[in-house]
Parts: sequence; C-alpha cells; structure tokens
Amino acid sequence: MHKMPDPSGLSEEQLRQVTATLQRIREGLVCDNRLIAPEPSHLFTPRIQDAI
Amino acid sequence: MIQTLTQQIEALACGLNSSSELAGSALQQAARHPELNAFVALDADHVMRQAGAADERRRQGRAMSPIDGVPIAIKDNYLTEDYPTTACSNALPLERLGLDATIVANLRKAGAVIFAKTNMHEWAYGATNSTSSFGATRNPRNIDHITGGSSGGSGAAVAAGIVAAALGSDTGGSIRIPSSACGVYGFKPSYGRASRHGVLPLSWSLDAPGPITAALDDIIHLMPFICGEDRNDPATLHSPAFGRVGPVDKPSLINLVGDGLERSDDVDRGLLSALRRSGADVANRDLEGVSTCFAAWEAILHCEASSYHAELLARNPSGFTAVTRAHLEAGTRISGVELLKAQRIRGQLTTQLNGLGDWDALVLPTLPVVAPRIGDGWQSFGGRRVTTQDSMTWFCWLGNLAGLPCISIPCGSSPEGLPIGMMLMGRYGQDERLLAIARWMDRRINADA
Repeated sequence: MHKMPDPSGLSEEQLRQVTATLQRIREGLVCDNRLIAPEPSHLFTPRIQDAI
Repeated sequence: MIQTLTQQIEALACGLNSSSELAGSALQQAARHPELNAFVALDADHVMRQAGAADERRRQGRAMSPIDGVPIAIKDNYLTEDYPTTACSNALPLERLGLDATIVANLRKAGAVIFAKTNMHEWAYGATNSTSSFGATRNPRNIDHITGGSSGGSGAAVAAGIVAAALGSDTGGSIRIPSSACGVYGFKPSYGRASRHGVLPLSWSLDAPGPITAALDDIIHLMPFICGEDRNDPATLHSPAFGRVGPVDKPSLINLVGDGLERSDDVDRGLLSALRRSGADVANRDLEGVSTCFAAWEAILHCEASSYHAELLARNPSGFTAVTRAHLEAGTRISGVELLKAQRIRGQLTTQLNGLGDWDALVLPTLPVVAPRIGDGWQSFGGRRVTTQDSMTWFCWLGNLAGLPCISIPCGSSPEGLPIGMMLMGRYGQDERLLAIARWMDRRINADA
C-alpha cells in the first residue's frame, strides 16, 4: 500500500521539523498545579501586566 | 567620524556638521561594507535630497526636532512610502504601498533622514538572519559570524558605524539578539507602548517595535518618536507619551538562573564580571517552569503567524522558504485547547515573576553564546546541545511572553573578541525606569569603552 502524500506538500524533512516542534510544544504545555491560579477572563491583553 | 546619535544631534545643533555631511558619510561607510549585506533598499540620491531639505530647514531656523537631519535605517518589515517593503520574503511582491508605518511617519515628521531598508530574517520568523530573500547578513565584528536576527541588517548597520540608529522589531528577541551579537544597544519597549501599525506582523500579541543604537542615550533621544498612543494600534490606547528618564539609586537586580537558562562559561564570566563592575545589588533566583513557558511562547508564535499568513501561503506557497513553511504548518496543527493552555500559562508568568521579590530589574545574558559562525547549525553550552536558532532566542522570549520592557547592552567580549550582551528586563509599562537603570549600569560597566 502506498503512503498517502501529506496534504501540506511539505517534504519528509520539513514534516520531521513540524513533528519535532509540535512534540516540544505538547510536552511543554502542562498546566499543572504550579500554574493554577485565577485564570485571565480573556486572552492576553497588556493590561493584565498592570498587576506586576 | 561621529559615532552616536547623541553626538550627531549635538553636532547638528551647534553647526559642527550638516545633515548632508552626516548622510554623505553614512553613504560612504555603507559603500565600504557591501560584504555585510545590511541593506536591501538604499537610494543615495533620495538620501541626499532628504538631508539637503533638513539643512535648509536648519538654515531657516525651522528644524522640526532635535533629530531633524539624522540618518536612520529602517527594518524591511516597516512600511515606508519611499522604499518598497518585502519583509525579505519572495512571497510578497516588491511594491511601494505609499504608506509609512506610524513610527516611520513620526520620524519623518521629526525630520529624520529615512536612510535605507535593512536586511532581516524572512518575515522576522527566525533569529539568525541567515534566511532572507536578499541573502544572509554578516557580523561587522567578524564577518565569518552571523549577526543574529531577525533585525540583523539593522544591527550590522549600527555596529559598522554606517548609521547611529536603526529600527527593528522584536517577537522573541529580534531587536536584542543582533544588538548583543554585534555589540550595540537594543531596546524592546513594553507591549503596547510603541505602535505596531504598518509593521508587518509576525505574532501580534508578542511583537514590539523598537530601536537599535550605537549608545544608550541614543535610545532615550529616539523613544519620544517611538512610544505613545496611536489610534491605528488598539494595543497602544492609553499608552502614555514617553516620559523623562531621571536619575536612579543603586538598583536591586535579580539574576535569573535555573533549568532552561543555561549559558556558556565565556558568557557567564562576562556577565558576572560586568555585574561586579557595576556595583549593583544582585541576587540569584531560580525561575521554575521555563520549558512550560517556552512552549507557551512557541505555541502562540506559530498560531498567530499561521493565522496571519494563511491566505498568502495558500496563494503562493513557493514564495516561502521551506523552513518558514514548516513553522507555519506547525501553527495550523496546534489545537484551540493547546492555544488556550498557552494563554493561561502566559497569564501566570507575570504572577511568577512578581513573586520573585522586590526587584528593579531582572538580568540575564542576552544570548547564551557569542555570535555563532555562519553555517554552524548547533550550539553546545551548559550541558545542552540546541539548534543555533533556539540558542538565539534562549532567554529573550521571556520578555515577549510577559510583555516587559527589555534592553540589551554590551558588557564585554569573549576571548576571541566577540561581543557579550547583558539583558535587563523591567516592570511592565515602566520603560523610562528601565532605561534609567540601564544607564546607571552602562556608565559603570562601559565607562572605558
């Protein structure tokens, strides 16, 4: 059976780069208890920084 | 030759030099350094016409500001009405849009001579300046080494003494990285203090425009034209005009260390020696969760960049280099849940930094290594082996994720003579105070420079 080409049209090497990037991000994005606190009510805006 | 913007301002004010002399000298110096590949658009006749007009204004006592007649170079992702804007990408046609970015318009209104467009990493989507439709830039300190990026042409132009000031933009260190690698000064304002209007975005919630200069006081002279409210950039609403940079007492600094903040021995020695020379109070503190915060920065960066480029990428995929296409593809594969996690982590980073105690500025080396050799794909330091790209943003992204004002100042050199930079990060919105602290440090560290 032939492998289906990736719809992005990227080469094997580029796809390896994509996979490595996503793996690093997914392994890192851990919202464990260390980071639990009142969550922002909306996405980042600079005024959140006024708390500093 | 006059080296700093501050000296140029004084020379123009007292009539020691004309703008035409400054511009002519800058053109000569640029012609002497084609090997740096710092510029992607430069029209000598246009430069001299602007300088002539500035001289005429001064003759008539109508100088528009202290910087009237000073040559300033502009990174190629700022729209300029007189030069094409390409972001050094083949995906964007070479067009004059007839518009100035707000900051360029402010500088032009103040009489600055818009000198040239500078080379940059394609779309600012990388920190080496090795990927550009105009070819790589080379470091004036040693042309076998990279400038760093993405504002590498601006860093090279200032470090080579062609211009005393240039504009850059910074999403994960792109102003500070070439400033450190080339041995000059670079300032990223707090998010929302400087207008992004007309600066082609990489990641709109991380991007900050700012200057690269030959001296610290040069930044202070330029910031009134860079900071302030712009109705075309909602992030700047209620942003105050740039205020006075007053004197400060001996600052308390926190030297951030810990897992993920390793640096080479040469860089660490250079930083610690400079901190000792400064006489500032310095305490070491561990910053935890660096890899978590870095993942948040990277997720936000790729998602926002992919969103911005989606249509152009679909229309003209071959206009993007393979490495940039791979970054953009990664962004499309990050889920909404993952992006929201990244935003939550981002929100908590400020709490974590605040919890480090009473500090005037946080300090790190700007880079964990000195400028890498051209072609070196990997860097080893502190028990780590990382890509050259990752080594360039190693510390700098923290300031973008938290939106803090950050500055890189030279603080010595390695045994092979390559510059080492010190990065100071201030509290959000307190850009003037950070510059005051940086000036206090610079006068003690670089008194003999």
